[in-house]
Amino acid sequence: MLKYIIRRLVQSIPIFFGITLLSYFLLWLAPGDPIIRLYFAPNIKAERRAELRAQLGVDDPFHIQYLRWLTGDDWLRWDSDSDGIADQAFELFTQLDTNGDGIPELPGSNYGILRGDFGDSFVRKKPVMEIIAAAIPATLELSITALFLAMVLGIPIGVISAVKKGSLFDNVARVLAVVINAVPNFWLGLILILIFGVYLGFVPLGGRCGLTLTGECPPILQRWQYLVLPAIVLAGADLANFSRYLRTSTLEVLSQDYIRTAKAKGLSQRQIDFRHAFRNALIPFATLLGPILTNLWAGATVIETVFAWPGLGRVFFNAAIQQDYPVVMGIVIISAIATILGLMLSDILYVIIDPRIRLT
Amino acid sequence: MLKSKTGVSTIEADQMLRSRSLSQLALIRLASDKLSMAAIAVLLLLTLLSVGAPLITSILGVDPNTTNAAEAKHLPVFSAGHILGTDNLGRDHLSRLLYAGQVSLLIGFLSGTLALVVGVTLGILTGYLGGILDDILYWIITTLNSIPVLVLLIVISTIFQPDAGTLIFSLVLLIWTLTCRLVRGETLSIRSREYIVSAKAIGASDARIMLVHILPNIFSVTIINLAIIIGNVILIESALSFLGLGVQPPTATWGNMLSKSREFFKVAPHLVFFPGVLISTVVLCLYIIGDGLRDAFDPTAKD
Repeated sequence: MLKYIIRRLVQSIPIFFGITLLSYFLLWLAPGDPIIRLYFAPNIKAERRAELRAQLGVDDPFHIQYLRWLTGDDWLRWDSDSDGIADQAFELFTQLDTNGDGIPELPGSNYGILRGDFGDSFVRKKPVMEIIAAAIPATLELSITALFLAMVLGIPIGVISAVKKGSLFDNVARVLAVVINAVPNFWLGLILILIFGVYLGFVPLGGRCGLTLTGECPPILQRWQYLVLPAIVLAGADLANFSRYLRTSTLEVLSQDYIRTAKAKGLSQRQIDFRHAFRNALIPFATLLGPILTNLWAGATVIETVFAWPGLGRVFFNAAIQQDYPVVMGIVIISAIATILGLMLSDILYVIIDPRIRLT
Repeated sequence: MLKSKTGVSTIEADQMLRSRSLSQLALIRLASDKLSMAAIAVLLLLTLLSVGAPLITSILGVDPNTTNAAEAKHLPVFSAGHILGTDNLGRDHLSRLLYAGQVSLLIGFLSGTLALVVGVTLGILTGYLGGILDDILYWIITTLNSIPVLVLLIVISTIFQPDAGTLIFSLVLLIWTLTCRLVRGETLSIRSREYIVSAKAIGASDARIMLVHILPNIFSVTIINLAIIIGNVILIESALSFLGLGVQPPTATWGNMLSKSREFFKVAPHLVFFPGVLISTVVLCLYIIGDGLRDAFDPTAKD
């Protein structure tokens, strides 16, 4: 088992590097002069600009810039010919003297993303990690509520559909599941805001809580009305998928030999459905954990924007629009790591729960 | 002799079926599936309406880009001269919906189909040939799949500010992995079958095996996949345009028509309603067709 976990971990390392490579490549392609962006001085002098470019290594080849971004520049610099301009060759702990006054400048202060340093936001001038950390509670609150809703509703619907296969309930549930997947989630959000917010006035039009003196939101019970609509919309797709998935797996279990044996033993239908069928039908559910995370995250980006929910998705979207690339990349990479871990966890869970799965 | 309802004996029916190819059989089954046929009809109707947008709007005497904010702002549904009302600039809503349909459907169908072609080609090649090529491809696929398509698309769109052409290109770049993974898996399982081994023994070239023996056998999987992928692409494109990052106005798509609609909630709810209904209808039809095709190609899979 430990061997399996370690192998899965090792397998996800190349994927992690793939993601960082892709993110940095996109950033590298982005137009615009980073000097202007960083120093916010469009009419900066040409010599000063060249000096800054050299210091920052903006003109270095892609792989050098990528490595520096990945590993940081506080412990090594690239300067093969000692002209003060970072270039290709590695030289550990070389002390750079850029302006030629005999006193070496300090190395960079960037720790690199491998050590959790995504740099500072262009726009908000704060560390990216700080911005991400501040947005995570709101996102977790929304996703966990949505996930809870989807499970509490989706699982029973799926099981009942399977047990009463072909009934009116089953047919309605199946049709609704397809319809929910076909309706764009942001539009569903808009319509719900229109009905329950604008017309009926039951809920606010968006946000996470009203204005407070401290800027902190009160406990969740005092502001449930802000949470209910976005959580329902976010839960929609997963709810549909859960019920469909559980219907299929319950049907499969119901046709197994041990169910027939249970029947032959004289167990009541209720006992068979719940003690034998339901519990076994839940097993493949473990594999859904990874896709669920991806789904929630993709949904949150749009839904948090629609409902002005101050979570990671909205921070990501605003940063993207403002071309605040450090924040964008930080969020993309961290959410991708979460997805990879989710996929890994669901694989491992699957193996733990179901001893029939052979480790290969 | 057993007679079925149609009066054809089962043996005759069996012979009739035997003389047809798998795809022909599937088409026959699909044609008898009322729900799928209805979905195809609705989809065709909406496509025809969109393609015929210039004709329809000229008959109605309206134009999608004529603004008249002073006199005809936010007219409700069934106004004189504007059947579905007007938007915040006084533009005719119906004609905008029809023209938007052209763009939305074109993006969906074109990028879905192109992604399928790329996915099938790479899937068969790497699945059959294996080796380092397969490892690299699998690495690319798993990497791309760990970030939601919409999230990557938002990043790409803010960097490149796409028009319809580059949007299709980036969509293809991101969604080919879905088909490719499927095709690769299928190819891997077909590769070791007896008929491939015997084809090899006869001396068939790799190219021939891939084109003549593998491609037809994954045809059904891909064609089912196509309908669902087009549906997903339309949903993703609409979300992107809704966020203001897709195709830019004045070119209308169903998604970007919704992006400003929010500000006019109270005065013009019809601006929120119709584009969303059209997106949902098209995607629903595509999902139903996908389900219908699956049942048609594999009647035993029906649960």
